Amino acid sequence: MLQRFLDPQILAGIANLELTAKTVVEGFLSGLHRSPDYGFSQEFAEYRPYVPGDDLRYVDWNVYARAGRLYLKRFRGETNTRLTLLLDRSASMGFRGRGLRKIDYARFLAASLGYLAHQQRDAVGLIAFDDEVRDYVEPSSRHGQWLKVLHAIDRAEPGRRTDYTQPFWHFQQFLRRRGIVLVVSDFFAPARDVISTVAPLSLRGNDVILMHVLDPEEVEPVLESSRVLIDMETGEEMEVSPSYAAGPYREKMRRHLEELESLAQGAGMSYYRSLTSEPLDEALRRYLAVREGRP
Amino acid sequence: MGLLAPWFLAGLGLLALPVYLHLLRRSRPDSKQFSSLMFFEPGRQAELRRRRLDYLALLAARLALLALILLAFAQPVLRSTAVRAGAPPLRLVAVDTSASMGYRGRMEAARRKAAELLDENARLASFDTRLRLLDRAELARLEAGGSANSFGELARALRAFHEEQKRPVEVHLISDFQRSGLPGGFAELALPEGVALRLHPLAGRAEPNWAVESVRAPGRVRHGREARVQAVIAGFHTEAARKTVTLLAGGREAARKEVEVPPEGRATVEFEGMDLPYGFTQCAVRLQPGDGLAADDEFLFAIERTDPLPLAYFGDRRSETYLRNALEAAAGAAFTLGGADWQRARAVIAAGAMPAEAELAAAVRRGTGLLLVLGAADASRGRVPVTGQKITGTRYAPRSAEGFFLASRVDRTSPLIDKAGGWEGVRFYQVIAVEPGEARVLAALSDGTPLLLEQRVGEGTVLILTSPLDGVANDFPLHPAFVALVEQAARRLVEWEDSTAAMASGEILAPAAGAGARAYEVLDPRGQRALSFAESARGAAVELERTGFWRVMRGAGRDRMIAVNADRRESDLAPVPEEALRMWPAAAAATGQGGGGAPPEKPLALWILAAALAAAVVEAVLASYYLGKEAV
Repeated sequence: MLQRFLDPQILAGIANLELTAKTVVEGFLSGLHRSPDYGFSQEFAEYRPYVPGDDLRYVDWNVYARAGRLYLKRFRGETNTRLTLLLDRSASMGFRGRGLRKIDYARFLAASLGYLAHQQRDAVGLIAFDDEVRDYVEPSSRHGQWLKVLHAIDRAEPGRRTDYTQPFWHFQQFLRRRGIVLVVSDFFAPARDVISTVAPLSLRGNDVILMHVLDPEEVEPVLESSRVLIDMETGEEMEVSPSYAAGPYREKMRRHLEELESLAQGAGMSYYRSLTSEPLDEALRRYLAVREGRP
Repeated sequence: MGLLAPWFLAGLGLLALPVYLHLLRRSRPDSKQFSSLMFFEPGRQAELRRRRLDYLALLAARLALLALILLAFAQPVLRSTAVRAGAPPLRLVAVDTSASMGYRGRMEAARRKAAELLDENARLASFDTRLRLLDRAELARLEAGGSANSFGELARALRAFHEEQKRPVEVHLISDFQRSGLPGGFAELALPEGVALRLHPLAGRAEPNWAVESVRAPGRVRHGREARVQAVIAGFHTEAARKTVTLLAGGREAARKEVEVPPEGRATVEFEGMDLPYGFTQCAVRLQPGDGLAADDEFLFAIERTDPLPLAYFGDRRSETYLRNALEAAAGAAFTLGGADWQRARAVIAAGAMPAEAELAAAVRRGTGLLLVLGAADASRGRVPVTGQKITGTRYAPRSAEGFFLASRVDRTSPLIDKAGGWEGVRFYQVIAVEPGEARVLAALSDGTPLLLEQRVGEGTVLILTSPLDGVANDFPLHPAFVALVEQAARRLVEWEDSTAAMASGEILAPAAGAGARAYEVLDPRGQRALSFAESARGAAVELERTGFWRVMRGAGRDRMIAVNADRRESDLAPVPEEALRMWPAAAAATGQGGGGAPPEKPLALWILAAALAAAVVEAVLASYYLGKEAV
């Protein structure tokens, strides 16, 4: 029964973002039957020597008293993974078809992944952007970090038009340590531009996951009669016929998606497309799969 | 059939308004925002369609609604032509048996007067808070009770009696006509046509009287020495006097104090440090020397001495922290959480975990209380443990509104709600949706989704809180009301509440109130069963007619002792002024004459408004349907 709470339509009704994330992750874990393969067990695994920069909370002071050396307790499933969520909050993310807005879906996704990572004691951070960096929370696993990230996600509302060039140049300044970078966006830009802008993050040793969030109506629009469409980012108006929406538009969109996926894989990035009508568990699974491959 | 205000029908012209609106309705230009036009190319111009008379069903509903409202304003009535037949009058002799009739000599005088009035066709009755028809042979055994009298209730009973008899009634009231028995408005004393009233007052003036007006004492204590008793001694129409006040515990004198009672005033006496044994102790505050009205010279109460009651806990640490802190913060700290074998605990709290369900259910049927705090795991099970209600899903506070739910429907008759301030300001974000079934809903969201349910299972009480106490699903634990809720819930589960209450004679004791409890036995002050086996088994209520100590036997350490005292409204012996007494029969006669002549009219406006309401509902449904269609 918990699985059904992964349904975005139901999640859209929940006012409290933390509760949404908790519900999604609990539902997801329920589906996994808490498999230890995914690193949720907090079973003690080993000791490792302390190195400067480690969190002192995990130092075993009993061992220090006996051996005179600092050791950290490590648990199974515990890593020093850093997850940075790049959340697109451009105006086009405010589009709503018959379900929920893309920005809401993206927020649920970001909050759920953040919660999941937080549960595993991964360092979590967030960058929200449109044509500039609008919000930045540095990745950390300190106490209170989760709430900072959560509030930043909650603040993300559709802003101005997307421009990947400017904010991604800034990301390179922020992302000094390697980790997992998860880009949640609708990628309404030429595929080559998107990949050429994001690829440097991958080249610096980050595992980059592109989460492409789209509304089903954007992939397969259905118009019963001719309609005036207004571009949410530019304000441009255009009358569109049903036949165009059913034929050439879909073909163009299909080619765009294929190109984006192909270029992303070519650049060593993981690409995943998610429609706002689909449950969130596949995205969580994708994140864990990438995370498993990391040291 | 007729109309009281036919000129309102002129408003039927308003019916043209919906027709006008439906004719001139136009569709809006069809435009839509889209995320990006990067894959689109311009197409042909859309044709906008004008609509004519559209949505005929909606139009019909609107016309019907307007027409019905106008018809209701015209006040249609149904005129009846029924005629009443005459019949010989019946004499009813009603004797006041309220506590004040115990004042020296009044009851004997009442019996003598009643004997004079009772002829062959007469009926005998007694009254205090209600009218009781008696056999004539019972006149000699009539005694003053402990209840107050109420002339308003008497008038209501006489109206019902007359309605039932369907012939003229001559009522003789024999009473001291205490002023305290009069209702707030003289209209409540009105009697119907055909009831003739004869008054026989027995008291001429306000007699002086002292009374133990009230006693404040704890119902339960953990240590005998902590019992503190405060009594108020009142004088009515009295001079200043010195009185001796005695505290009795278990039939023996525990303390004695002298008190100066001012003229027509009150004085307070306090006793401390009673030496109470474990269990129930029958106590009393007695006034000495006595006066003409003995019924209010003594005030009975009961105190129970017990150890703190253990409550077993199963669940997560966060909920436990909240619950433990609330129990420790509650006044008296009468409960302890955890630490005990759950099968020996008086109640179990389960927040996400519990012992084997079959064993727990068996314990509840034997009388163990259970507080279930539902969580996501219960939602996945699909039913509530032990009580078995169906769980239909989980409700989350919608983003579209304020972002949280409030407890909009609360049952303030329950102390769980009332003493927790009606749960005002408590925000709920996640609620497990439970179908109440047989359970009583104590608090619910505005759409009826229960927040707190109460159900009897065998001899035990089960409370179900449908929102987890994990600090995320609601902010209840952060409100002071939470302490009151947890304390009251604990009391409810162990059936602590009112365990040693003092009540007034004539009040109704309903041990089953609120949860449909079964199987208990009530013993009156003489030690006799107050209920038959059948009444006990179905949890019938008991009227506490006799003053003294009543026992409610429920087993499993959940007995109650209730002290019943004479109603203190009877202590003021001031009679109704003579002018008012003269007015009552006259007013009754005037009311009776007003009812003859024109045939009765039955108004139809309410029925028409109900039909209008139905039309409004249909209109709303249709409008919403069409709006939805347009939005798509």
